[in-house]
Amino acid sequence: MPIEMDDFVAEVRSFLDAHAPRRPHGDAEVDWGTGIDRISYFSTDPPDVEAENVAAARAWQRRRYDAGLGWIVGPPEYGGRGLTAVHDMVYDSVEAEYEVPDTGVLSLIGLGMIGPTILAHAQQQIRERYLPAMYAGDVIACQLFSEPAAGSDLAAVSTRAVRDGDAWVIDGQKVWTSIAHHAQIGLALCRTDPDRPKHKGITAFLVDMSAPGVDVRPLRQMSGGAEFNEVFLTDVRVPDEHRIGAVNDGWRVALTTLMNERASVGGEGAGPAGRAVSLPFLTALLKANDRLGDAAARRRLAELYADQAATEYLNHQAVRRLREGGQPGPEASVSKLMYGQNLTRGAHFAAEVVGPRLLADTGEWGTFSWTELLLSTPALRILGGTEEIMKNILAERVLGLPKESGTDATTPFRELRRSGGTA
Amino acid sequence: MSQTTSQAEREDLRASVRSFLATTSGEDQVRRLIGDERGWDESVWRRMADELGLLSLTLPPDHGGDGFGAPELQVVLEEQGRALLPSPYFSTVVLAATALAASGDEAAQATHLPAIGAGTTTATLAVAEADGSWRTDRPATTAVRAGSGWTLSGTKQLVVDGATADVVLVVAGTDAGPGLFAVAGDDPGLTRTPLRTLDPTRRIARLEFADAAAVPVGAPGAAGAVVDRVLDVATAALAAEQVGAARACLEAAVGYARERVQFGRAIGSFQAVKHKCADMFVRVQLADAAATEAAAALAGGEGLPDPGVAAAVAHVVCSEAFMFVAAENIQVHGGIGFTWEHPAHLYFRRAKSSQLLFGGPAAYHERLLARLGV
Amino acid sequence: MSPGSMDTATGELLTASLRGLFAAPASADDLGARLADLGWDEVLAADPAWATTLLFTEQGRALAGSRALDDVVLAALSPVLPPAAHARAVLHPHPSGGAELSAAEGPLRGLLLAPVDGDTEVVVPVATGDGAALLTLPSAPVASRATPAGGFDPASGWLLVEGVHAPSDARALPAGAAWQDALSAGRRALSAEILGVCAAALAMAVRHTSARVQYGRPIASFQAVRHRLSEAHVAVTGARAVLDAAWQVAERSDAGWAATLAKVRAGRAQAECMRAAVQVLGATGLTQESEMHRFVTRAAALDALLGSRQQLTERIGTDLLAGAAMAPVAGI
Repeated sequence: MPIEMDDFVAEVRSFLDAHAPRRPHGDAEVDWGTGIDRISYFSTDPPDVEAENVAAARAWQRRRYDAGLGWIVGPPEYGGRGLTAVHDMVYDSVEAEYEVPDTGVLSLIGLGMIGPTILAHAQQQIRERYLPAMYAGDVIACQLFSEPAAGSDLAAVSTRAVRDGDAWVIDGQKVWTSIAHHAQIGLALCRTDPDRPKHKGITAFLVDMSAPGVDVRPLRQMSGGAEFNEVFLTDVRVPDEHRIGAVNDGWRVALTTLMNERASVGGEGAGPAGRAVSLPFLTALLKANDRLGDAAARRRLAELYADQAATEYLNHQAVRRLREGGQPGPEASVSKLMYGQNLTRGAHFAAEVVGPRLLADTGEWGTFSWTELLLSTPALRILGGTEEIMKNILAERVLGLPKESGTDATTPFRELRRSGGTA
Repeated sequence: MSQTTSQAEREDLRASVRSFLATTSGEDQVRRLIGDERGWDESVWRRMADELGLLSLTLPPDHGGDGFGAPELQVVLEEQGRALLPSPYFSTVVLAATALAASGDEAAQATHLPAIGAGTTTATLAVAEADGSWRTDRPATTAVRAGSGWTLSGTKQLVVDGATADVVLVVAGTDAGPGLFAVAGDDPGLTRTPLRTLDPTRRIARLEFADAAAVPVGAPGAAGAVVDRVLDVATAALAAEQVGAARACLEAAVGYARERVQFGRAIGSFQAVKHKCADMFVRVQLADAAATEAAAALAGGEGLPDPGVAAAVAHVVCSEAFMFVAAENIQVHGGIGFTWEHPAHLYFRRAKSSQLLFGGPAAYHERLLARLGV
Repeated sequence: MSPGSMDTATGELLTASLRGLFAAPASADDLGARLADLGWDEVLAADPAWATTLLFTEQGRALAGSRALDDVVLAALSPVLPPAAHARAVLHPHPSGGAELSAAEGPLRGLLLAPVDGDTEVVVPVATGDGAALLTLPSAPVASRATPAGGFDPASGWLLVEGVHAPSDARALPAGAAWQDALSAGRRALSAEILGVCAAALAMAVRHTSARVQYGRPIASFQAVRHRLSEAHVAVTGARAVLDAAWQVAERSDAGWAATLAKVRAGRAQAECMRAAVQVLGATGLTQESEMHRFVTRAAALDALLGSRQQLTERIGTDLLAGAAMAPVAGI
């Protein structure tokens, strides 16, 4: 029975009022020169703090789940509430008014992408075993997709899975897997038939991350931190019931996962990086550096703000349209491209204002701290789909431009030209 | 409070304007008007008033209007921009009618608005002087009392449709500060000189006033606030026009990239062209969002940004987007896009002229910061 | 590279020797000794433009650190400095102030290319009421206030010095026009080094994109990748042309102007080049295992020495607005 939106909002509010304080209203004043002098895009918490954050995220997810709000769009037989995507969105927009733990470690990959994939493609006993546990915050899932030689061209995965009785044996290497070091399960794409074209010889498996042969190693980024991992899979045995979807039908499974990724992108304006390139913060930066009267700097500030505001308007309008029953358009792709560009331009703008004080930590507040964001910006144009691939998708799917002709989609995988292992 | 429409109603409006312009503002008609002395087609103007009711659409109901607001104006202007319709709509309905409405002068509204709505009067607003800026603080043009009335003297530059407007609203200095005045287009004290224009689809004139008879509009010395309001409405309206024209460029580029074959394949399959089209698309989507938000904010409603900020954002984003897309469209077309016969240059000209109409980047960036209090 | 008196064979030999020299890890002082073994002084005397550009290009390409920039600056200052009794190092202007000098009365601050000790004298350019002047300090008080620059490019080996006070009897030697000459010489050398880093980064990007296959073909065959690299190459080539032109006018009164332009162009070229190189490496370039981030950080660090591209652009603009004559740079 669908619940009236007003009643739903009232329920959400009473839940949140009971368990979380309200966020202070309005834009927080920028108090330049005070507070922690750190501006980062990726998490840079030491391991003990990170562990605490994960525990807090799990606890909060459990609380939502117990209140019937852990999986708003999920079917009730697996612990879901059976409501619509609009209810889900409304929940998020109301929750944003409260101070609650960041549950990204659970939700971005596991609950947002892997959960819907399991629901759509897994056998019933797997759904029963994992879905309630995931949405209750007990099980964290990661995505074992990218490989050293299969980045943009994900269908070129070469991690092998070979049948052995009622199980499969997996060998290969995955890379750029975020949160693998916290995850209990991972969804892996594996090559099961190299004699078929690349899209048609892949099978998906749910891998127990604590199984023998699974080795998770941190991957240090150019910005210094290690948010991501390499995952080495050596003779990992996976029971056949952990196969997700039919044998050699893994590409369809992967598409389900990836489509849910695109749907979840959008309102990323917040967070410490977003705040750092916001108008109040950059204005304070100019003021502190006595550049508020500098015509060139003012002009760039206005350009930056105009693009940020327009991106935000685009997101608002997408949400408004959905609430009015409209269909999602290409806004998410546009907004993701713009989000990366806005943050990048903001970081470079700040770097220019700070000038050579960015080179070395002189101890002056609000100068060297920009390095981490600056060094993270190249990732915004690469991770989660390079800018080039996003543009291909926009041009081909939205504008209807022809695909580049090639035979790689019809040639047996075994005969395809591929990069060396680590190139 | 203005009349509102649903998304579906606005799409109906769009469809009817688009089909009307398809028959009245095709490329042939636009090119014919480029060579025409007046620069716009009176019969089309009449039909816009009589058949489509576009001229009264956004005028106040008390003065013969239908009382719709910025979101409906946005639709009409997007379609006009798309077709590059040469018409005095922007000067009459956007600039002059908004100035009259903002002046709060009931008598002036009663005199001019019904005739504007009926399509029998065109009008414009003359603010800029020698430097082309839309500042109102110290106009060199002045108005003085003469007997029971006023006379006005000075030179206004870059007046949109200034050579054909039946009524010219003029910002002029008075003892009480800058005020707004109405001068008849055929006043013997007014010399009007049409100028050569970068954009032949939007006419511009120099107006020289020598003791021209002038009627005050609104409170004495209140022109600053009126022009401020006009700029919010007009930059948002211009943004809509820019979005429509930019989308036409995008569609032209994509259509050509799909069709044109080089090296044995459609050029749209080459990444350099494909990504260019994607970049154009991103800028157009963003511009569309900015223009839509500005229109919604001007109409008022919950959860919307400050209208002044949203209009200034739209002016920046749509000006840049249209300019970018108009230039990239030519690049995608290659040599053919640079010929006089191809319409791409008409959009390029409109893009640059729109970007600079209210002062250009130097003015619009500062205007945005001023709206934000920076 | 400007045509010099070196014949091709000698040029190639020297280039190969320099590459070998920079390929082996060594301290800044060892590199100096090895250059001396190579007879670099004679090469330098025979064709300073060619030799300096080659040396710094190779140093940039190898991401090596040496005292070569000190030597360039000291050579330009030699007309006003007494003959050296000991080894000398330079305390370069602190990067946070661009090319701005510390006031002679102190406290002094600046940047050292490598640690100083023992008998080494530290030459410190300072500002006085009558223009630039040179202080010569013993190494100990400078070394005691030096800390590794760390930060953005810890591999540079540079040290930042703050709060040094010259002994009360220290006398600042008026530098006259020599300091301006030294700045110009330093900027030309740094431009070459930046462009060397760019060349190496571009070469890595070309290697990677030629070897990396996606969708059944090397990613270098995709236009998005090719065009990005072409544009980076154009930026680097353009900057090199300005540098060559700056060398052609090195003895003229507008040498300073030309050297400044060369440094600005090199700075801009590295920004564009690194942006392109990082992007075409994709996720591979984001890891610390990839060499790419070392090129990125080194190029940015070099850009900041003796005036960053932004600082120098602003300087040029201010000078022009103040009515400075816009000297054309020869050959352009």
